[in-house]
Amino acid sequence: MTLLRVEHVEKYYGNGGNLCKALDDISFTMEQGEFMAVMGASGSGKTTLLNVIATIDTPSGGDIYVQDENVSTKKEEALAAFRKQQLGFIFQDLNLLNTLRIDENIALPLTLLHYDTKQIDEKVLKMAQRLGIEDVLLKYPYEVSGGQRQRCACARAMIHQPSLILADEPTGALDSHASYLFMEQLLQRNTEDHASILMVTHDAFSASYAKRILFLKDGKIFNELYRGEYSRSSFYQKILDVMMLLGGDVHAIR
Amino acid sequence: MLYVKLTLRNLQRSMKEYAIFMLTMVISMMLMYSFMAVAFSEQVLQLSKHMDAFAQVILVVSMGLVIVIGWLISYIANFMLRKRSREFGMYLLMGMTRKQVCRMFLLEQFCMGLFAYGIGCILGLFTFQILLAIIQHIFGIAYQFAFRFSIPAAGVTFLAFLILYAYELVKEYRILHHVNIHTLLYQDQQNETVKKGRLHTLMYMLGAILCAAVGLKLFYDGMRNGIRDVEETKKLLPAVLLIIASIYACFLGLSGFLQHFLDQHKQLKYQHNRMFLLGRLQGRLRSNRIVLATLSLLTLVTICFLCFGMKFKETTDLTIHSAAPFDLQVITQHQQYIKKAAGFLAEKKLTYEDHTYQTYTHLRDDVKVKQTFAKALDHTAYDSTYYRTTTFMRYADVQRLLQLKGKKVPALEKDEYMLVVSKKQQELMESYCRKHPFTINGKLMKLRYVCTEEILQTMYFVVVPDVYVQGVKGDTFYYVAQSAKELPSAWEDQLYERCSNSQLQEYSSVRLHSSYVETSMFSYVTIVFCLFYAAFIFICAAGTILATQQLSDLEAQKYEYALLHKMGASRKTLYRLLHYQNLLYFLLPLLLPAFFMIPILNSLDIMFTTTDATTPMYMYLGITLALFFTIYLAYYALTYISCRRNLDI
Ligand SMILES: Nc1ncnc2c1ncn2[C@@H]1O[C@H](COP(=O)(O)OP(=O)(O)OP(=O)(O)O)[C@@H](O)[C@H]1O
Ligand SMILES: [Mg+2]
Repeated sequence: MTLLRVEHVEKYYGNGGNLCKALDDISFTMEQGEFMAVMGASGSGKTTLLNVIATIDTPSGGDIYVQDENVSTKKEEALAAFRKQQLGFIFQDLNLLNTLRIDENIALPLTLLHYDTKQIDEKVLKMAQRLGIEDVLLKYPYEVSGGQRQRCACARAMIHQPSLILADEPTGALDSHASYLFMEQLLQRNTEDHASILMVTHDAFSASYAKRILFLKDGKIFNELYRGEYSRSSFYQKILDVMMLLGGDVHAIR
Repeated sequence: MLYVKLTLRNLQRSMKEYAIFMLTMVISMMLMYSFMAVAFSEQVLQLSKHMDAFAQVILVVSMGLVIVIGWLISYIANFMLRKRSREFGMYLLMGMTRKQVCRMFLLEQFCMGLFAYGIGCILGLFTFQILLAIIQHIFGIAYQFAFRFSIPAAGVTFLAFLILYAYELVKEYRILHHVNIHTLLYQDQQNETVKKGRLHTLMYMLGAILCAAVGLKLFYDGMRNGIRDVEETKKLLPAVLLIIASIYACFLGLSGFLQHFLDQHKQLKYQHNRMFLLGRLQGRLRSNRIVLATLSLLTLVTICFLCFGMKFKETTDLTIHSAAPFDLQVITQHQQYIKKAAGFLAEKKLTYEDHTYQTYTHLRDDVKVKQTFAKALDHTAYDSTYYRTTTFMRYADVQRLLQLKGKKVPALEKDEYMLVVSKKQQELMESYCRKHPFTINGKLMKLRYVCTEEILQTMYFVVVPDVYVQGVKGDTFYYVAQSAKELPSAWEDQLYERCSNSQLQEYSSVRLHSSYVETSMFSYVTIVFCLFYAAFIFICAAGTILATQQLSDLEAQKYEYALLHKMGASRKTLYRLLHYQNLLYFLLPLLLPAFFMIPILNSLDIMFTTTDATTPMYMYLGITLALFFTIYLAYYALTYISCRRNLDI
């Protein structure tokens, strides 16, 4: 079943002679339960694409459908409800609220959806155990490591079982080992809980966890790569090849 | 559940983070409450019949201060909104509705205000006692402790608080309602763009200098000529506007100037810590030009207020001696009222001494007089058409008046005369009289004696031997009395009733010493209290804004400091750097006031030339600055300490 349908989406910044086309006629679809990555050089429009899908930004043209509902025409209130129920977010940094403890941060989406307290506690604990952060639940975000923080963000993004998880360079601030742990968790969520994930990254290693990769160049879809029957390591090699084609500096990545 | 928790947590954090702002809010509410409580308190109202006017003035001043505090709150709330925009973006992103986010932030703001109001009122109970003690001391009444919670004061303060926050809440609500998530999330990465260019900077700087010069000149002229000609005071408004414009223009130009300077002298920029300091300073100047200019203006106004207040006190104290030298004085153009006044006093069972007399504008018709006294004060500060006629007095009257005051005068021969003059004009008049002859029937009169005792002289009286005014009809009639006991001030109105006839348009000037003292004290208390009240809140507002900016700036610099520490800079060096940085910021808004202060104070001083106060205004600058810096430095110290604590190196 199609979860996400992006049709001829465009996004311009600036005006007049100083026009910058951040997204240029992008169309693709994403199935339920898919794990998809978006790659591209810096400035190619990855974040913009994610923001437009997340309804943080409004596209200059085109339509976005989530479960056959047109997101671009929704009203403010409906958008808030949509984000609350259907979306989960993981950013590169600044995911958590410093005023709340880790467990409260994770519980936030559930409280917004008016779950009852007992249910919330149970769910938070279960999710924390799966991500290996049950020890830090009672700490504040600034008291835990970057990797733990990112896993918390992950927990929060998934706890209410949204139909789509959006992640913008979730491993950007992590070292290779922490990245590895984090990506393993994310993959598990995808395979076990059937969470649909759309992830922006410029790290080929993280991207190799996805089933399908979209390459952007100057706001256009440049290439699309399916993992198919490849092993992860050979998929990784293929990704590097495409990146070479794209003109990205591969040596800077690995 | 979580909303409440979130709001409470945010509240707790904001109170801690903006502790200095909270302190200022508490102080403002405290001052507002206690001044209101004084204005409405029975003890003060019964001090004088004018005191209900005091309450009104305090009310009006408070309304003005509400604007200043409102500006402060609006600045800080905006500041918070900007700093936490990412957080609000996150809330929205997770599906909270705008309404919920708004409600959370506004509730938090409102609670902060409510907290300040509550604590302020409680502390106000004590400051009220201090103010009451001061007022009772001024009126010469023993201080009585009366612990009392003033409901009208608390009510009006609450009203002010509501107005402040209602306005603020509406504003914040509208901002939060219209901004989109993207802006909120990425706002902190955007900077303000400033028009660069030498021409721009030059224009602003030249404009500032021009405005300052013209403004100060106009201000001086308006003050100087305003005494003689009311039309001239019309210059004061444009003068003030020009001075304000010059302050703003100067700050607009300064940031560009510094930027230009730093770009030109790169080698200077990279020396020592200078880049660190100057670069930051420039950034601060750029993004806060308007706020800094406003702070400068507030500082200037504050210092002028304080100086003016102190000078006013001196004037009032001195004026009592010259304006009400006798327990009772009645001055009139209509002789019949003198008898009525004397009759009024005779009805009361009192021990008193009195004297009835008159002053003359010319001497006996059969004597030939040559005199030029009226020209004595030409082209001096006392120059006024009002003093163009010379007033003569009979020697015997002067002798009697001085006797009433327990003083003696030497006798006058036939060819001698005497001057009664105010201390301020003594030198001027005396030297003039020694140079310019005064002849009667061609015979030169000798100046026998100059008396500076206050006996109702407006500038000066010329006292001549009795024979020269024998049988002449005086033009102004006087009745003065000295009594053993102080006369009740309420008699003034009764006497005035008797000595005036509004149908015939005949009026007399009636003044009781006791009543005059009361009125002077009233105006003194009103003006000085209001000026100090306003000044205090101004300094606090300025200190708060500087402290808040500084603390948030440090948030961004924490990393740099930590890096410097790791690179081997000792803690002491870093603290010193922090110290310099803070000092620089706190001095920044003082630069312009330092430049404008002396000329403005000198001009203001002209207002007082005709009074008896002689201390030049800038002599008060010392005390003023001491007062100012006590509070300002307290804010500086608080900022420095908070910064140090936040640095964690
Ligand atoms: N707020 C904005 N105003 C103007 N132009 C913008 C804005 N945000 C992004 N752009 C432009 O849009 C283009 C795409 O930006 P985007 O942030 O999507 O890139 P990205 O692929 O996420 O890059 P990176 O990998 O560096 O994060 C860039 O050319 C950028 O300069
Ligand atoms: Mg990006």
